[in-house]
This record gives sequence, structure tokens and C-alpha cells, in this order.
Amino acid sequence: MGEEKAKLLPFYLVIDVSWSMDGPSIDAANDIVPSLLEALEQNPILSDKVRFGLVDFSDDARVQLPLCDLLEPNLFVPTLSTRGGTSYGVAFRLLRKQVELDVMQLKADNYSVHRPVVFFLSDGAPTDEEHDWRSAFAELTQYDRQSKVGFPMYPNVIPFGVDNADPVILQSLIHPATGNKQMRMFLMDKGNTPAEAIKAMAEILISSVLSSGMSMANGGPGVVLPDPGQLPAGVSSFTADDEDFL
Amino acid sequence: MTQPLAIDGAGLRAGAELGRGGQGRVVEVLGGAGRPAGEPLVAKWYLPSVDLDAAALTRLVAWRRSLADADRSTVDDIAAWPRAVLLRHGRAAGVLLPRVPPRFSIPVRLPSGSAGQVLSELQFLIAGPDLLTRRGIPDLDRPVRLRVLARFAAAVAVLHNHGVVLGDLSVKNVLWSVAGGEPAVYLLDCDALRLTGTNPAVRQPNSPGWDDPAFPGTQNQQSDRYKVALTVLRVLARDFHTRDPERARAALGREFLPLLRAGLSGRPDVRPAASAWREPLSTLSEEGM
Amino acid sequence: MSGTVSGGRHALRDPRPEVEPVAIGDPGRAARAVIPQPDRRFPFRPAIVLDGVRIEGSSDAGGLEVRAASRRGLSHQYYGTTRQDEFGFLVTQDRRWLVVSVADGVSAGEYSHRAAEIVTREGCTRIAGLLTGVAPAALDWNAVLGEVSAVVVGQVRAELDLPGADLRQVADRAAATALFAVVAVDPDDGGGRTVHVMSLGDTSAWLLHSERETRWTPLQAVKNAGAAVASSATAAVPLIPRELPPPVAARLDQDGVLVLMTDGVGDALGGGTGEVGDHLARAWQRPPDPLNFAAQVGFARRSYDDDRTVVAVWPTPAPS
Repeated sequence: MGEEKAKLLPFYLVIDVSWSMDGPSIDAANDIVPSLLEALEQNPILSDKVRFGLVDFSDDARVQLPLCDLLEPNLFVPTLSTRGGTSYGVAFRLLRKQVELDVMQLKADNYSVHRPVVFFLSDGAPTDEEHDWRSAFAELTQYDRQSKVGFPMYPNVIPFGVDNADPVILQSLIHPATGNKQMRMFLMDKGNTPAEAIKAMAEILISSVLSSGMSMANGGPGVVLPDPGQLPAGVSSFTADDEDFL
Repeated sequence: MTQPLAIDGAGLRAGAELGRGGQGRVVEVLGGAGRPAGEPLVAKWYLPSVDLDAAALTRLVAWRRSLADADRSTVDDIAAWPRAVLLRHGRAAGVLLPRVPPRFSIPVRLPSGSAGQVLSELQFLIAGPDLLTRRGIPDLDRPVRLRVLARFAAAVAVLHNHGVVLGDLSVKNVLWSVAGGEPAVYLLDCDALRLTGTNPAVRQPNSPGWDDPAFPGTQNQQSDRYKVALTVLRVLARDFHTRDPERARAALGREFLPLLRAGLSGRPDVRPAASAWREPLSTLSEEGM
Repeated sequence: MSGTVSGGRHALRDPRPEVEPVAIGDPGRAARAVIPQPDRRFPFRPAIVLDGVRIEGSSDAGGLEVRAASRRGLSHQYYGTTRQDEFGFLVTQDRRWLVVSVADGVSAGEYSHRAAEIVTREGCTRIAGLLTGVAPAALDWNAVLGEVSAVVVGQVRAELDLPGADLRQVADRAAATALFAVVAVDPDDGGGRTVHVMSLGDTSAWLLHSERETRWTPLQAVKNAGAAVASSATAAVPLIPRELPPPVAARLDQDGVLVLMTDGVGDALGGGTGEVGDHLARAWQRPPDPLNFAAQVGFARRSYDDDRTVVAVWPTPAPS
């Protein structure tokens, strides 16, 4: 065995660009990456490690910004625009392929790669068949350590729901749902506007990238999400077994 | 004035179409606004179906410009490195490349019987004498072949030292020339190369028969090393398909056969660097003369 | 000793070389951009400690040359938190053995640097005490680690005023890996020395032979080899496992170097076959000036921002 060039922490932001996101919501979503970039510019410890990718999805899913170092010079951050329905299945399938390609390539280039983190932002219920997106999600997230069946590079998934997103469905996308590395989801409070909620979620995402990065860099447990009591106004967080949003 | 990394393709004056392939088409650039002056250029326009990573393409263009003058000139001598990203309606859709220097074309008899020019691909150093005779392509003797291979290994070594991964390295995207004395090589399809730790602009699967068993789903400098060894073997054995190092025993001798075996090893960490081939190949070419 | 000052040996030395920052590969942004912040909680704990000594052998045999450096990593500099690594070494009363230790305080614990201090100091002291009665091969490592853990628990309870804290609560605040090596000061009849190593957690011991084809030989399994994605779980004092990893005995030849390091260096070194391994092997062919040694331990390399600690032990040639 040789040596590694660097230890990298991959984050993917997956954004629903269905028609319903049009207007202030998509504008707020488009502000997420520039804000994250600004935060990373202030933190050379993390910017040496964080790799970030942007995927959007509607009836199809597209890699809008392939996994990269956001502070790389000449990087062009794309502007997302809305285009159709809400197929969760295509998003999960593209992610499965992309995470595997990215992690395999970085490992082949002798980088040490941490388990990826996916932030999944949606404003509506999936428009594709449930069995279809459920099986795509299982292919993305399921792995059995004993039998080594499944996807060993499975990401941690943190769902963000605004507007008409279905809390029960998003809750089922929290991964891992249980155990000591349990993730959470974040939902817009009733009465808030989606654009305001997305701005709050951008804050959560950035604080999570910064604190997870710091934790992982220090050999900590991995993904760190903001304390439920410390969230920006207008959003709340839930675990996979909470029921109080019903 | 700083040359922009991306230019609008609409401003280019297009000439003849030079080629068409699975990824897109290549046209001659006769002139136009914003293009780097002083060298013949071609425009490669990707098909809409090609998944193009604009950031990666920009990275390649910017990387070349960031080199010291001497390094850039070395890279330009051995590789058709992207000069600028081409935009269509504001989106990356193509790439401006240098035109292949004339010394890397050879006159041939086309299968139709008429005379033409083809790029002098490395595969012509593998093809058997019958085919070469039929096409009117010169058959190089072994010392010259070895010198071409030494230049090839040196070219890969230069790029590897700069952290470049060649990826889909095969005898179709390496050109050679013996015109004007010293042999030279020239690498094509450099828009598909990548810098270590970053994505390629376009994902290029391995050419058939040029895969590395140790890296079935990905490409890196270690798979490049394997392909350098495979190229040495196939050119010396004059066999398009072999992976058996013993076939080059006569050409490499007892001294250098272990280098080839190591290069083709299933254990990537024992494969010699591309630079390790330069001396042995040069030495052998001198012995043979 | 009335009226006389006992002195040490002296020799003409080369003038101190200039110390230059070292980079291996891509240094990353942090190495040039981070402005080191003090840790206001622990103002008297230095960010860099280093040492360089020669342990004299008995009259006609060689001795050992020791270089040690512990540096606060870029991450701790940036966040204004103290260095959590530590080293320690001492020679037994009978001057037969050198005992060396390196410890890495577990990041999550606010007082883990205390655990690292206790591991290295108490550990070396206790091992040296035991070596008056037993050979290194017969050391009772369970007793050593158990006693060291007990000191950590006692000190943390006292210093943090947590008299009722249980083992887990103490470990949450202060925990450290523990690596010990015992080396004979004099070579044996074969001209080499047997080295005994005990390692709990991911601090690692290596034999370095700059002139050989395999330069870095690990004295324990390499971390994360073969894992799909990297993980960082590690064992640490005071939570010692019921079954300790077996102690390792290895041979330190006259042309070898024993190198003990925390994972701040070990992670970058990997298996030792890359550019980090090459660079350090070249730098440590001979014992460098201690200031240069500290600069080499602090090499810049993208994303490797953890604390760094190395103790290296060179056999000195027997006087001819």
C-alpha cells in the first residue's frame, strides 16, 4: 500500500427544480452554493478537504456541478432553472452512479475519501411511481457489512423539505435512520415561505458542512447537524422516529 | 490582454470539416474573434448527447496557461492540449484545439486505390508488413521503433510529472513521426485527459483491448503505466491483442523483460513509472543499430 | 561534588543550518493561510516542543541518538485549540534501556492533552521501574496500561473537580492513544538491538532503512488498508480493551532507525512507499539538527492538518 494525497470530504446538494420551485424558491436555492463558497473561503482547513457537487432533478436529473473544489480558480457556478415534474427515482439513480464514479476515481488517484453526505432539497411529493423511487433509494443507501451486498460507498442522506414536500416521505429518506450515526431531516414550519425556509436551510447546510468537516478532520464521529434548539427561525428538525409534524 | 478561457464559437470562421466521431465533429478554424493567434487551430464541437463537464474543460485550459513558458512549450510539443472552451449560446459546447502538425500525417494509398493522407497513429507500428505495404506506409526497423517508443514514454512521463492522467491511452490517440531526424510523438484527444484528483471533461471509456484489469471502472496514472507497458509490448511484438510479456523477450532481452512484466503486473504499485522506460528503450535502440 | 560542576561530553558541531519550511506534494491552502490562534484555556502549553539528545553507550559500545518533536497541527492552530499530542523518553537508572513513548490525545476530549502527558510521562516512568526487575520481553503491559489509566482517571477527577465521574465520563474528557518502545542502549553481540513495542490505538512504530529497497517497515497493521471509505475509530487510554494487542519485538540494526509517530504523520506516510516516505527517509538518513527535525515533522501537505509527533532513534556507530 502506498500513501494518500489528501483526505477529502464529499458533499452533494440535490435540488428539486420542478415548476413549483419557480420564482423566489429557485432564487433562494441558487444562493446556496455562493454562500457556501464564501464560508469555505474563510476556512482554509476545510477548503483543503471539502469537495462539493450539485445535482438538480425534475423529470430527469443532471449533474450541474460535478464534484469539485469550490475554491478552484475559474470555477463557474451554474444557475438552476425549473423544468418539470418531481421524479425522486431519477435523482437517486444519478446519485448512485455519480457517487460511485467520483469515489472510485478519487480513490484510484490515491485520495482518502470520507463517506459522502447528500443534502436533498424538495418542495413536493414525488411524481414518479413509489416502488420505483423506493427501489432507487434502496440501491443508493443499502449496504450489508457482513455479506458486502449493496453499495459500500452509500452516502448519509439529510432531507430538506419546503412547501408541499411530504414529511412522511422525506422522513423515510433519512439515512442512516437509526444507530449512533443517525441523521435528521429539516422541514419548513407552517406559515413560513419556501424561499425563507430555503435560506434557513442554506444556513443549516453550511454550518453542517463546517462542523462535520471539523469533526471528521479531528477523527470525530462524522456528520454533525445543528442542535435542534439552535436552528434558524422557520424550520424544525426531526429524526426518523419523530411524529410531531403529523 | 489576457486571453479569455472561454470564447463564443459564433465568432469563429469555420473551414472544412476535418473529422467526425462518436463525440462530435472537428472543423478547421480559419479565423475569428477571440481566438489565440499565431497557430493553426481546429474546433471540436461535442454532440448534445455527450456529458460535458464545463468546469473540467476550463480547468484543462487554465492549467496549460498556468505553466511556466518552457513547460508549456514542452507540453505543446507533445500534446494537442485544449486552448479555449467554446461556447454556444453561452454554454460550453466545444473546445479549441491546435491543429495536428503536418509531420504527423503520412501519405497513403487509400483502400479505394487513390492517394491520401492519414494521421500516423501508433497502430501503424503494430500492423504487419503486408498491410503497411498495401497502404504504402513505411515499415520502421526495430531501432527506430524503439526510439519512437522512448519518445512516447518520455511524453507520458512529462504529463505524469505534472499530475496529468491520460486515461484512455491507446495506439489510436498517439501519433508518431520520423520526419526530420529525431522521432517525435504527439498525443491526441487531450480534451479527455484530466488532472489527478479532478474529473475529466468527457468520460472516455477504455478503447477495446486497452483496459487495465486492475482498474476496471476507472483510470489513473497507474492504469496509464499499464497502458504504456502494453503499448511497448504490442509495438515490439507487432500484435494488437497480446498481453503476454514473453512475446517481447527477443526485443527487450533478459535485462529489460522484467520491466515489462512489472509494467503489466496486476499489482498497480509495482508498475514502473513511464519515465523508467526512457533509458532502457534508448539503450536498446542504440544496441540495435 | 563539592565545588565542581559536573559536565557532559562535548564535540565540535556543524553550525546550525537554516530552518526552512518543508512541503511534500501539494501543500494546500491551510499551510499558507492559517494564522495560529492561542488556546486561552491552556496558555502555558507550547505549540511546539522538541528535543535532541545522545544517549551514551557503555565504554566501548555505541549509544543512541534521539530526535523528538511534537507540533500543534494546522487545524488546532486555526481553531485556537491546544496541541493534544505528546512524546516522552527516559533512560533507565542502570543506563541499559531507553524507553520512548508517543501519545495522541483523542480530539473529542477537551482535556485529552492531559491524558497524552500522563501516558508518556507516567508510562515511561513505570516501564523504566519495571525494567529493573524484568527483561523488556517480560514486561506486564496490562499492568503498565492499567496503572497509567488509573492515573488519568484520578487526575481528571481531581483537576476537573469531578469526583464521581466514571471511566466513560473521564474518557469523554480525556483520552489518548499509547505507544511505547523499549530499546537497548548498547548493541548486542550481533551488532543490533531488539526493540519491544506496545501500541494501543493508531499511533505507529516503524523501522526505517534509508539504504534498503523497502525503507519503511511498519511494526503494526496499517490503518484503513482495504476499507471502502476511511474510518477513524481508535482505542485509547483510559478505556483499554480487555485484550491488548500483542507486543511486537523487532530488530533494530546498526543501519536502521526506530521511528515512533502519531497519525498526524502516520496517515500521510501511509505504507511509506510514496513521496512522504521518500522525503522523510532522505531527511532522516542521519540524525538532523533538532530544529530541522521539527521542521521536517511539520511538513505541509494538503488536508494533513492534525497534530504531528515523531520520536526517532538512531544507533550511533561504536567509536572506532
